Amino acid sequence: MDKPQLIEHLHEAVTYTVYDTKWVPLSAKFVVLGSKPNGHGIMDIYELNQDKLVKVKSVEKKVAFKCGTFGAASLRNRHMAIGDFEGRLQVLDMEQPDLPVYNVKAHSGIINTIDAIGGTQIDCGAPEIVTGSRDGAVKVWDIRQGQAPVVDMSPPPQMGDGINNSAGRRDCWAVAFGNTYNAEERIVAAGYDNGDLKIFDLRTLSVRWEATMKNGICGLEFDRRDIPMNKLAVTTLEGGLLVFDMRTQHPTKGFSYVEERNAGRSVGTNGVISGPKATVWVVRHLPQNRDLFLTGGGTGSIRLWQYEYPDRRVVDDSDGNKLGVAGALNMVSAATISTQPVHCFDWHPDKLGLAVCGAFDQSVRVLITTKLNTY
Amino acid sequence: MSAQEKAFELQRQVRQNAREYESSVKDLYSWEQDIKNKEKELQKAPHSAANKDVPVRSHVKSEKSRKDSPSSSAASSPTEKQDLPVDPVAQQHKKANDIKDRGNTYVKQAEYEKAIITYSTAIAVYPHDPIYHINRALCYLKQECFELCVEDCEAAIALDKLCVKAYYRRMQANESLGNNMEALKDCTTVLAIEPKNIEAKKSLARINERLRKIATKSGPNFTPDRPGMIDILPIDKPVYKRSKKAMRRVPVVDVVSPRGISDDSNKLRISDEDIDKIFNSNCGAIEEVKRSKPQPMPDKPSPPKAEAIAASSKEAKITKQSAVKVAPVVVAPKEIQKDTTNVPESDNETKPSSPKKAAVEVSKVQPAVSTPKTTQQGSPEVKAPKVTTMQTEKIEQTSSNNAMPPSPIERSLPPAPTGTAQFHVTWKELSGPQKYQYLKSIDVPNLCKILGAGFDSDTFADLLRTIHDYYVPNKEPTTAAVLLEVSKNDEFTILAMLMSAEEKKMVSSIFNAIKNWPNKNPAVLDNLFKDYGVA
Repeated sequence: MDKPQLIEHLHEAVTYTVYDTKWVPLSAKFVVLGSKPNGHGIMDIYELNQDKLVKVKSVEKKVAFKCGTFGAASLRNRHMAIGDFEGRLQVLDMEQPDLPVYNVKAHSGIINTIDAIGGTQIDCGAPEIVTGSRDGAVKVWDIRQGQAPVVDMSPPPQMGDGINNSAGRRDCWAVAFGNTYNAEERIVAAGYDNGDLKIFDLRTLSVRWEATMKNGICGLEFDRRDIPMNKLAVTTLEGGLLVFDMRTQHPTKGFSYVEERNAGRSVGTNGVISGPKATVWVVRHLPQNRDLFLTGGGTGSIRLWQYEYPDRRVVDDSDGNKLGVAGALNMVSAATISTQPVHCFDWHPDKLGLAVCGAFDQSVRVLITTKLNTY
Repeated sequence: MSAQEKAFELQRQVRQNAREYESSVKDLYSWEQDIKNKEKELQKAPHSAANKDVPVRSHVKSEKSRKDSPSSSAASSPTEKQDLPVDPVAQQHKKANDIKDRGNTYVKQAEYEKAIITYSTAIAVYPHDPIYHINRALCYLKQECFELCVEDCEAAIALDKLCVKAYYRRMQANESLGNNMEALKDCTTVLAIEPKNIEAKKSLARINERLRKIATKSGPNFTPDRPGMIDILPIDKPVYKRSKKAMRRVPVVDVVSPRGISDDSNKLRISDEDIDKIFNSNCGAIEEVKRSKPQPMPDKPSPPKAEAIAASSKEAKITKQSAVKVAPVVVAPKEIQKDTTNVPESDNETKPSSPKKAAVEVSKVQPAVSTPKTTQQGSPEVKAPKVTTMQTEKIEQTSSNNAMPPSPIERSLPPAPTGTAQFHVTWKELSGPQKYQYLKSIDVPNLCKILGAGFDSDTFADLLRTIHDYYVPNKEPTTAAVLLEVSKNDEFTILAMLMSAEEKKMVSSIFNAIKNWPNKNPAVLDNLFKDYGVA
């Protein structure tokens, strides 16, 4: 067996619902964001200490935390951008978490998803944070600019009576930055509950591309944020996993993709895929190898995939337009680590194979993946 | 596949996976340490200037018309774009590394000219990495520009003193240039840094062979054949067979005279430091012996009957000799020659003459142990040796050496050890009675800790022997306590299981003795019996 194994290294049961887990860059610490039964938000910082986890710090706030990211923080500063259940975006300094560095009422509803960029990368533009919310808006923030977003991508105001007012607004479930290969270029991909996928170009402030998946989009990630966009992985309800080849955009057909419909179902020990078509909650590319990525499914299983490029990534169609060719997906490894959905996952940026994930069984797990270096 | 095979395969897999996991966890733990240290450093470091110079997006006028296509190399190749290190020096280094990589491809294609140019560029970009020099040295070597190669190696060594490759390549170049002594020096340095380097060992043998050939022809150390010479060859003893005693430098009288044609022996002399370096990497500590004054020599030129070292003991072991060629040539009297059982045949092809005549070729190469079993007890017939030069040679002896006036110096008892390493190092060098004193000097409650993880079966056997030979006869009251403390060591369980029959006998005789002593504690004794497996 020379396949990677996904092994649970440490397990920490917590007394709250875990919503997000993130490694603190350049450290052996990670942050767990969650919601206590009384609706308070909690942020715990744990540190790996050989065979146990040590809780370094615990911060409680009035409103439950939903998501967070270190993407816009420099290595030294360690500012975490956190979105909460009431639509507030705050940037907390890990050293002094009591008083937020930045605090803004960003959305009218819960902030479902957050992504940030520009903290550590150089020549990649300004540090920015993007949030997606239940109110249907996707907003880009720059903490240097007061209380207003730098870009606001809200759906047009709905006509009609008060009751149906919100019905037309889609719930944004996933956002991701990408294509940030220089100071100007930047793209935000947003996925919505109805399966809409929108690619916003921040430089031209326009919608670059739109498509609709069969199911609501739960997770989105570019394989790398700081290169000309290469691949975009999309996960949906009912077990869909799609990988778009983002190099070539056809004028009418858009981006081509490869799809895996069984990504959310559980894989038995003998490799038999069974069970219901569960949601694929999260997709995370390996920081050390962009062609490997992991998906966390609704059955509590996680799967490691490898994207195989086609022989030719671009072909000319009959009209002479360039059309991208999608590659193939291979499942490399799978493991069931929980009875509940694994909905947040984070690879350590510095240590190959080290990851932390949270599941809805109120526990946090540190995973080790072996033999990743063989890919 | 049969069910059995399947089960076996499954088992193997499970085991392998477990190993894999174990190693990853170990790796993870060490990484944790690293990253924690790094983090601490980072906390101390000043705040880095964030890239705040990039304007806020909404403050920039959008220019929709401009359309620049992604032009970086990442766009075309599926290889990853790596984050450029922020530090400008590191960036230079990285750039130089890229250039070096290009050079490496040239080397693979055997285009050394191009590779040299590339490496030179790399050096110009980032002059602080020895690797570029080493690589360029390799190209020069391939191109047979040996002087340039040596220069580059020297540059690399200046940057990194422990640069094995640089020494090795300089050795190769020097060999090709015919600077055998220089090559030898480099070779010994390589071995000093990496004692297990097989290539270097081979080279060392080769260089020595060549040196010897040259020397026997016309070399500065040329010694004409004389009757009654024995060629003593080094014997390679496995480590576990070697004596654990410290080696001592013993003055050796060189009875060779007259010297060969040239007298520039100084040039060829290998310094004591060099010799020590070689041997330190191969064996235990070296104890310096005070050089005795060169003995006054009789004016008669060397009669063949002379002896450099005669040991009264049955086994005077000439352990390590170094010094190629420089090494002393010992002319042994014929009696010795006949009785010498262990002297290998002369390997000197240039003089295949009489079997009785053999040059005692005391030489270098491996840490060799040659044991000429001199049967001369007390050697009454030894004539006063004619001494021409004083040589240092390492001789290990079990007892006194009557060629040397000063009797071997008993090591003074070292102070009680404070740590495990100190104990183990010292322990191996002590004689029996000293071990007894030494052991006694250790606080009994500390003993377990001091033995530590390095406690091995040899030490264990030694301990038992010491207890058996000294503690018991002296009715040392702490005997039981020492035994108990030893048994607390983590390694003890396994060591106890692996006791040899002899050791077991020793243990039971110790216990028999203890049993009969007064003021014994039966509970402690019972425990001890159980621990040591003596029912």
